[in-house]
Amino acid sequence: MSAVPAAIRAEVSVRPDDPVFAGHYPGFPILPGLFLLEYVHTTTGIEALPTAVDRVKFVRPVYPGDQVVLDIGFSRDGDEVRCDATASVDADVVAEFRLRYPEGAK
Amino acid sequence: MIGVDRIKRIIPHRHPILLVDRVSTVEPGRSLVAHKAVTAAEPCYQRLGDDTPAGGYAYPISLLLESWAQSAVLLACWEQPNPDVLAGKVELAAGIAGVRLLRPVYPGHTVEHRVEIVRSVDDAAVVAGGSLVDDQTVLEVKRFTVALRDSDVLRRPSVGASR
Repeated sequence: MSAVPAAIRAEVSVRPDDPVFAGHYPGFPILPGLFLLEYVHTTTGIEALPTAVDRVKFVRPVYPGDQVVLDIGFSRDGDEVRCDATASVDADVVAEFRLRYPEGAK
Repeated sequence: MIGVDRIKRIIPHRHPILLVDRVSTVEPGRSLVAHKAVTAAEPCYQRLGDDTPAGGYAYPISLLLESWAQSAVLLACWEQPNPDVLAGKVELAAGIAGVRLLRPVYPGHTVEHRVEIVRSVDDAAVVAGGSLVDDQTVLEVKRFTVALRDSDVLRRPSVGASR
């Protein structure tokens, strides 16, 4: 288990001037849910791409200006590294994730 | 061939996050095949420096999945188009399960998305499928659940309201 890194907590600001909001959706800006998956992947610091996304649950939308808190934990899963994460806004969980990375990714 | 003009009449996604270029096959209520060309001009590559190694140009998994998911929404909404969120409903991803990422996608690749309706109820659909590049599978998706919600219900609470 020693090769698995400790848990990570990070905060991401959803910038209202992110160009994505012009198109998602015109007049009704909400963050594409999968952008949260990218936040999680980037925050892990793992260079390799995940091999699997076992599960994502979106609880409610994220809006421009939201401060998203990511809590990310790692564990061994056979030959792979499993990553469980939540995204929260104002202490409410807005999305949950389970990803897998190849062995040696971390 | 069904191009961007028709796609925009069915789903509300717009530049820079309209990630489906054309639809080649559709069986409404059943299945759809859509295509997305990835190029070096994508906004996601804008900030990469000249020293970025080859692997840095892998198309982000979030955008690959978003592109696949837009194909799924196209199929789910084919017969009840929802091109304007303000006039209709908002498509929201409710959940995704069983995604396998088999190969990275790079600029120059054209991704073929295949989607099939697994189950469809009033305002939600479960869609499965995957994506190919040059006949090789790059993505598998066991279950993607999309829900349509009234946009009024989802309005962000107004400033000053308790949250």
